[in-house]
Amino acid sequence: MPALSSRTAASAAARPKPAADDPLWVKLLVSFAALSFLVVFLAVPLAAVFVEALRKGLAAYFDSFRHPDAWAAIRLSLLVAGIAVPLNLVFGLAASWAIAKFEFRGKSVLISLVDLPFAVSPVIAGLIYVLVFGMQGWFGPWLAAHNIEIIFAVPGVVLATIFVTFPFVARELIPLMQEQGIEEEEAAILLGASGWQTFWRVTLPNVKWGLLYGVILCNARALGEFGAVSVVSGHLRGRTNTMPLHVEILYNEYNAVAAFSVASLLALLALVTLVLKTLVEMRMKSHQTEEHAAPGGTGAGR
Amino acid sequence: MSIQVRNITKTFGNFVALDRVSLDIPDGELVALLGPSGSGKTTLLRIIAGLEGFDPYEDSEILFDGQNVARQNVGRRKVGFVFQHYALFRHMTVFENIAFGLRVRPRGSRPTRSQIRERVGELLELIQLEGIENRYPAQLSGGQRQRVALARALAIQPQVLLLDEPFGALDAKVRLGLRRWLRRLHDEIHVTSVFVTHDQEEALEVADRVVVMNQGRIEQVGTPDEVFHQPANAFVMDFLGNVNLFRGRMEAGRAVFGALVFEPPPGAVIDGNTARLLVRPHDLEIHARGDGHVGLEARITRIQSAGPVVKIELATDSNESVFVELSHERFRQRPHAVGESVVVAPRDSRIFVEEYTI
Repeated sequence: MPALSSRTAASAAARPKPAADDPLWVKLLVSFAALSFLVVFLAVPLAAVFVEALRKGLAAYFDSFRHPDAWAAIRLSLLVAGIAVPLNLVFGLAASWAIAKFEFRGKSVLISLVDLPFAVSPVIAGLIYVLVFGMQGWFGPWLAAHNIEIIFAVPGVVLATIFVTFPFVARELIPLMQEQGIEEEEAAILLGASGWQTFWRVTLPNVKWGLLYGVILCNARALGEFGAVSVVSGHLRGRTNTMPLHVEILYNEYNAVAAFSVASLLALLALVTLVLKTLVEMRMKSHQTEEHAAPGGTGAGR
Repeated sequence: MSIQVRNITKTFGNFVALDRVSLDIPDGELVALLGPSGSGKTTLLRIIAGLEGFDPYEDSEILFDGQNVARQNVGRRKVGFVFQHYALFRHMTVFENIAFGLRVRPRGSRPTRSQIRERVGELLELIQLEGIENRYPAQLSGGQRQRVALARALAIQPQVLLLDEPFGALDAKVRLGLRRWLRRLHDEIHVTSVFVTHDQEEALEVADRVVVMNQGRIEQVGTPDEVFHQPANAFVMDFLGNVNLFRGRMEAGRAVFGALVFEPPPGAVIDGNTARLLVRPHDLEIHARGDGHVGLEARITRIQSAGPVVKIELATDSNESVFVELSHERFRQRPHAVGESVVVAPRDSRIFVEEYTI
C-alpha cells in the first residue's frame, strides 16, 4: 500500500506532534483541578461578600452606607488615599529618577530604604509610629504640650499609609528607567534643554504608563491597608476608622449586612483596580512590542 | 569652529581611559577617531561634548575657538551629538524630535511656530526623508533613524558635530551608502565634525584627517594617505589593514630577517635589538625558487581566487603564515599551485626597531 503510507507520512509532517500530547482524561483532570481551586479560593469568597451584603435586600444594603460612621470611614479612606498617593507619586518618581539616572555614593542604601516597607510587617510599621509619636514615645510629650495629635488621630493614619505604600511607584519605575538608560536625557541636555525641560518632556513621558501602573497599585493598597493603620488609629468610630477597620468593627458586632456592605465596596474597588491594571499592562506591552519590533536597517541612505 | 584638546586624562577607578591626550582639530574639518574598543575614542568624544568630565589636572583644558569650555554649561556649547543607538525621543514623532532643540530655547530666542515648521522642513529635505515627519522612531528603519538623529543634531545649528560610531548599528550595505552621504553632507555644510569608529575603511574613506588611538593614547594623526602609507609605528600599520609581520634582529647595524637584509630606519639602534618587518599582503611578490630573487622561502598552502584579488596563504620554513594578494592578471600570467615551494619578497615594507635593550 505505497499510496496510503506516503499519505500518512505527509500528514504527520504537516502536523508535528505537540510536545505535550497528553490523553484527554489527563487534560480534563488538570483543568478541573485548576478551575476548582480558582472557584473555591477566589470566586466563592468574592461572591460571598456580595451575597452576604445583599442578604436582607437592596434597601438594607444601601442603608448601611447611610450610617454616619460608615460614611465617615469611607470619607477618611478617600482622604488618606488622596494624601498618600500623590505624595508617594512624587517621592517615588524622585527616588527612581535619582536611582536610575544618576551615580552617587550610597545608592544601594537608598534602594534598600525604598524596599524597607515591603520587608517590614505592617504591624511593626504602625508600632514604629506609636513609639516615635505616641504618648510614651520620643516626641509624644512635646507633641502633647503643643496640642498636636498624631497617634490615634488622622495624621497617624496618613503617615502609616504613606509608609506602607511608599515602594509601589518607585519599584515600578526603577527597572523601567534603568532599562531606558540615560541617552535620551543626554541628547536633550545637549540640544539645550534645562533639567526641568528634560524631565517633563523626555523622562516623564517615557515612563507615564509605568507610573500609572504604580499609582493604581499604590492606591489599591492605600485604601485597603489594615495592619499599620489598625495600630495607629485607635479605632475611634467616625473619627479614625478607615473602611477596612470599620468592616472589622461591624463584623465583630455581628452586624453582618453592614460589614459585608462596606466590604463589598472594597471588593468592587479591587475589581476596578484589576481592570485598570490589565488595561495599563496591555498598553505598556503594546508600547514595548512597538519598540522591539522595529524594522532593521532597510531604508538605505543614498 | 576649531577644537583644542590639551593634556586630558580620564580614569575610571584603576582604568586609564585617556592618558594625557592632546589634539588639535582645525575649523571645518571632518575628523575620525579610530581605534580598537577600549582605546578611549568614545570617552574623548564624550569629553569634548561635555557629557563626561576629565581628571582635574592644572594644564588640562578643552578649547572651542580658543575659549575654555570646561566650565561651560553643556547645553550652551552648541554641540550636535549623534549617539550610536540614535537616542531618538521614542514618544515623539520625527517632526517633534527634530524640532526639540528649537522648542526648548528660552522664550526670548525661541523661533515662532512657522519658523520651526520651516526649519524642520528644510532638514527633512536635507536628510531626504520628506513625508515621514509624523512617524514614530519605532516605525523607522535603522538608516532612517540615523538620519533623523543627524537632523535633530543639526537643527540647533551646532558649531561642532560629534558622532559616536554613527554607522556601527547598521548593516553593511546601508552603512556604505550612509557614510558616502555623510561625506557629501559635510562638503555642503562644513561644520567641524568628529566621528568615532573602529572601522579603518570607514575612517580612511570619510575623514579629512584620521586620529589613530590605542590604550588611551593617540598613536598618530594624519590624512588618510599619511596614516596608511607612512604609519608612525607598528600598531598603526597593523590596525589600518592586514599586514604580515616578520621578526628579526639588528646585526652589524642592519636589520636582518633571514635572507632579507635592510638598512634600518634612522635613529639610534643597537645590535641585538628586535626588529619587526611589516608588509601588506599586496606588497609581497611571489617568485619561483632558484631564479635569483632574494626573499623568504615558503610553501603555498592555500589559494583563494574568488573575489577582487587572488589571496594566497603560505607557510615559511619556521611554519609562520604569510598572506599575499595578487591581481587576477598577474596570477593568470604566472599561476601557482598549492604545495609549490617559492620565494616571497617584499616590494614595499616598513621596519620598526625597538629602541631599548631588555
